Amino acid sequence: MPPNTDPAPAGAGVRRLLAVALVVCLFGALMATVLTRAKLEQGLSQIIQARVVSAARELARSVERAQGLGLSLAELDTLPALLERHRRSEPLLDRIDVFDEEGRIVASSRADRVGALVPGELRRVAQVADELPWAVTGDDGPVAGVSLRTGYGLVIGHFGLHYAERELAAAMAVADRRLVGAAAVCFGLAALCSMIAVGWLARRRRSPRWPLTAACLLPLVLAMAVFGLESQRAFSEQLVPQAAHKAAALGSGLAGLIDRARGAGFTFRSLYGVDQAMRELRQHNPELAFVAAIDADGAVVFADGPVPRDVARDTGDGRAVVPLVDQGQRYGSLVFGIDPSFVRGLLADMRLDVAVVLLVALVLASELVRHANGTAPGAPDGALMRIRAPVFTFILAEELTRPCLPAYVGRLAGSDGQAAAPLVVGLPIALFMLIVAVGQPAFGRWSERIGRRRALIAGASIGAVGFAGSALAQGLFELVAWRALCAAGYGIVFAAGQGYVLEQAGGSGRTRGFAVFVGAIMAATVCGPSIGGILADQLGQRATFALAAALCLLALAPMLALPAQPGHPPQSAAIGAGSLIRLLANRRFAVLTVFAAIPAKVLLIGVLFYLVPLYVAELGHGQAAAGRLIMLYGLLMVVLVPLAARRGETFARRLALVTGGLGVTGAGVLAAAAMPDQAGLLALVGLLGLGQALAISAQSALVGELCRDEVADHGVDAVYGAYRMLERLGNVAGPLVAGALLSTVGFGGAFSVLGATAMVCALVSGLVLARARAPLTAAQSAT
Amino acid sequence: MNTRRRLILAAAAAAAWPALAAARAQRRLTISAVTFRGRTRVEDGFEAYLAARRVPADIRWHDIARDKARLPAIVEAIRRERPDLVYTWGTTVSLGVLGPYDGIDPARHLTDVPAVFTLVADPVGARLVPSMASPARALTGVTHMAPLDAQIRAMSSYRRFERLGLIYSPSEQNSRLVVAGIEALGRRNRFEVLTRPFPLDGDGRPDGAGAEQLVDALRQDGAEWLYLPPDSFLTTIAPRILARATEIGLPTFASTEALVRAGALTGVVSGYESVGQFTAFKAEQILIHGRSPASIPVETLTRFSLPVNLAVARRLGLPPPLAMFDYAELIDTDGGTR
Repeated sequence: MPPNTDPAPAGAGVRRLLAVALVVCLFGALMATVLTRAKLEQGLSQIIQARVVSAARELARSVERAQGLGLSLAELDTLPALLERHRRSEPLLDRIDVFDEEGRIVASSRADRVGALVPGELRRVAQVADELPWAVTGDDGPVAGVSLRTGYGLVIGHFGLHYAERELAAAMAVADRRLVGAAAVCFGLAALCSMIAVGWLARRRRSPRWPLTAACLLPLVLAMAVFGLESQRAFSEQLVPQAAHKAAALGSGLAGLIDRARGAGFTFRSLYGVDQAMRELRQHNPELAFVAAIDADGAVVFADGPVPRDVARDTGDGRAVVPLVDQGQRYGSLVFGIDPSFVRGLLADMRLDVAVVLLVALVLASELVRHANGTAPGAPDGALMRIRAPVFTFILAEELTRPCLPAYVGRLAGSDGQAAAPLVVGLPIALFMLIVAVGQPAFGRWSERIGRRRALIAGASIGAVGFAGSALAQGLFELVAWRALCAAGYGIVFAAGQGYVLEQAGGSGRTRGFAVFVGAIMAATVCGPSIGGILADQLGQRATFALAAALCLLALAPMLALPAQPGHPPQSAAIGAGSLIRLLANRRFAVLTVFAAIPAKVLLIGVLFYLVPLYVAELGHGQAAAGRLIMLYGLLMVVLVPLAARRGETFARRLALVTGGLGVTGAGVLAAAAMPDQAGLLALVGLLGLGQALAISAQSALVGELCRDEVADHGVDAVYGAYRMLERLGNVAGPLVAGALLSTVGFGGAFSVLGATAMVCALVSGLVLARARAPLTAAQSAT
Repeated sequence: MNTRRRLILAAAAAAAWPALAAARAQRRLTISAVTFRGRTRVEDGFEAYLAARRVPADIRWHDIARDKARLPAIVEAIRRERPDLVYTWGTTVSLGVLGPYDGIDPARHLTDVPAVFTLVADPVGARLVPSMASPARALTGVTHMAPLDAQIRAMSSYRRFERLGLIYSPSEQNSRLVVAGIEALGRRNRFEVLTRPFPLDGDGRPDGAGAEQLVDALRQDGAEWLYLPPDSFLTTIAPRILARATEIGLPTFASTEALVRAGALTGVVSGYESVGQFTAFKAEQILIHGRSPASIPVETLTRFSLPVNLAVARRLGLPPPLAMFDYAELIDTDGGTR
């Protein structure tokens, strides 16, 4: 045991483990509450939006009737009165604007709005929506609308219905109280249970990691289930009345049609196609259990869906009743029944997210238990294990932002609602990779000089500033500058962490030391993107960056607790251009680098971190979906890399793993081109993970084999340093190549070109290096 | 005219237009319009659009009052007027003034003035233009026929059917084309098409004396709808046919507005005012924006109206399906349009 470990009183280990149980429960409680709340808010605002859209449709119809699709809306002098009448008929509406293709307001329920310009985003959304109703949340609140067209398709105008989210806010306030109460009870109990269990386990002499992890997690899983049931009740309470409001809005449309039909001289009972109109309503609004039209005596005349016997009695809850009135006399009613189980469907959408949260909680718990155990006084490798928690926390910060970074760059770089060019979106990612690649050797030597601990602290601080700046950035250039700081921080922590491991582990423990370091990074790769995606969807991209900054600060605590070591003059030499050129003169090394190592990185960064998030958004899924895909890649690496490493026993096998891995990666990318949907994305990420996992260890080993002479001349570190440097240039090129392809040939084209290129590269490197094998074996046998 | 010469002419016209338009924007423009049966709502829509868009144009009206013999004199009169644009209404007038694209006679037809035609049911079949997408001569226009499959869809959403009855004049090419089109749709959508052509007299002209018997026969064969194609002869005796069909409880579906006005239950037709506006939109493209007519496609409306004769619906006891009250144009012979 190194002498500088803090002496800790007995029982400190137990206290640490109890803290772990608490942290894991807190994490679960926070994530579950955030997810549930966001889902409820989404469900409510969708219902409210549907009400407004239905009002917009009604308005468009009545304007169409009023003017018989003439020429210009401005000529319709009854328009302002009509707008005002419609505004008053729906309590959600604040005002109704009518604007032309240039975005100028030509009529409004508020006279002072006429002549003003609507925001560019509103205009663009309205134009893109074409003939369909649209909805968008602009700077001055949510707006829904629909366009009005002439008989030959020219736009006469767009209706924009501005509505307030008062009802949403009121419903959410009530729901918040319930959810927070439920969460406090469920997760409080869970925390208590897991602390008791952990305490009992920890007091036994040797406490293995998995039982402790399970003790942290099982109560959490139970709490999640109970909380899920409880939140379903809160959902029903808030959503069912809102759904009834919406049904009433739909009902007034249907009642209007029945009025028109009766006005045309047909009796209520003789009407045709009423049940079909009801069926269509139910198809578009799955929360409707039944729709029925009853006469004045309460007898059902038309119906769709299972109508209960007591339909004529106004039971209030979960029902909407719209009276059918003619000249002051009520001749019947429309009754809409809300199916309370529709909220179950809404919650079912959350299952994937909850599963991800539990998986992350699992990794987190095991990581924390390992930290608590590994750094406990008397633990073997105590000093070495201490690096794991800060590296995990710091890398987690960067990984959080992966699924949302491309979209964030696109949003900041775009103007007036227009998306930025794909190449511009790739630029910050490329710059990040460039700084990490080029800076790495220098960061390594600098951290050696000032001491690893101080370098780690400096790196995490720089990273925190970078993430905080990124969260607040207002424009592309600002963001690029802050991202450069993030890159510097990342590079420093990476290099210093690696150096720390080497120094603590010593020559013999090198492999084990690296396993600790890589394990921390891998755990972060699994946890970060998935949680980051969920957070970006629910809290926003800026909040996700802010959280990353907080994580950097959090990483400072375990860094400060690291043993302080004096710095010393760097022993490793800088990689000069000369040594790079000498290495590249080795043709076999050059082929391996140019046709296998660099393409693999181009595919990894260009596809997984750049194209996949953008493509997921293009397919209409959220950032959480992108995060899950990136997490899948991380999981595959964790599981497959050790398995593949065991397979590379001979040169031939290693070569087969490298070229085969690249080929599999290429096939995955081609699969995404062939299947333009989620199945294609799954195939892409699955095969990409498999391919990279197959190649990664074998490739490193091949370098040593192909550069025997260079290693003998310059040492292992110089050769590998140069190799990593070249490989990282692939990281830099990745987003640039992918961005250039995306802007010229689109997603399908970019996937096709990248996949096919990978296949060709795999073939070239396989053929060339397989022939190189003969002289190599001869040389080997000569020595 | 061979293809190459046509292309050269089109290119020359395209090159000349912007300059001409710029020069013309300074002064008032003249449009010479020729109609077939006096002013219709198409002309209302045409004038209203030009006025709303402030196109400085004076329109000189000519009418042939259904008499083809008046065409040569009108063509001569237009030559003297030296208009900036010619407007022609219907197939007969458009062909008479502008000629078929493969048979232009400079003595009889106007060749040096850009033109817009309107209300031509089948401009390609009538040989006004070789294709809808590119007219390849200095004219363009608007056609008013709704696509056949849209008509069949509207019919079956009013009431589903398995057998469709059809009466037409075998002497009219346009009717024969529509019948063939409906039969093709019947094979695809699995409904039976029962056709009853008018008998032809010794001169090959259709004879409408037994029209009522044709309707009765279709009903007996099990027809659930009677479809009325855009047939000139049928249109002249439509009131008799429609009265008979309604009397024996056979719903009727019209392909043109004239047939709806004659008393069909419903149909898918172009609003004449919209047709006129769309024609004026194309005229504006030529006169103000300097586009060559040869480059402006011949188009039909993207929206059609669905008129329903409520009096007929009540007599048949067939109210329109509820959803149709949302978009149908309700016509009540007792109380006008609702």
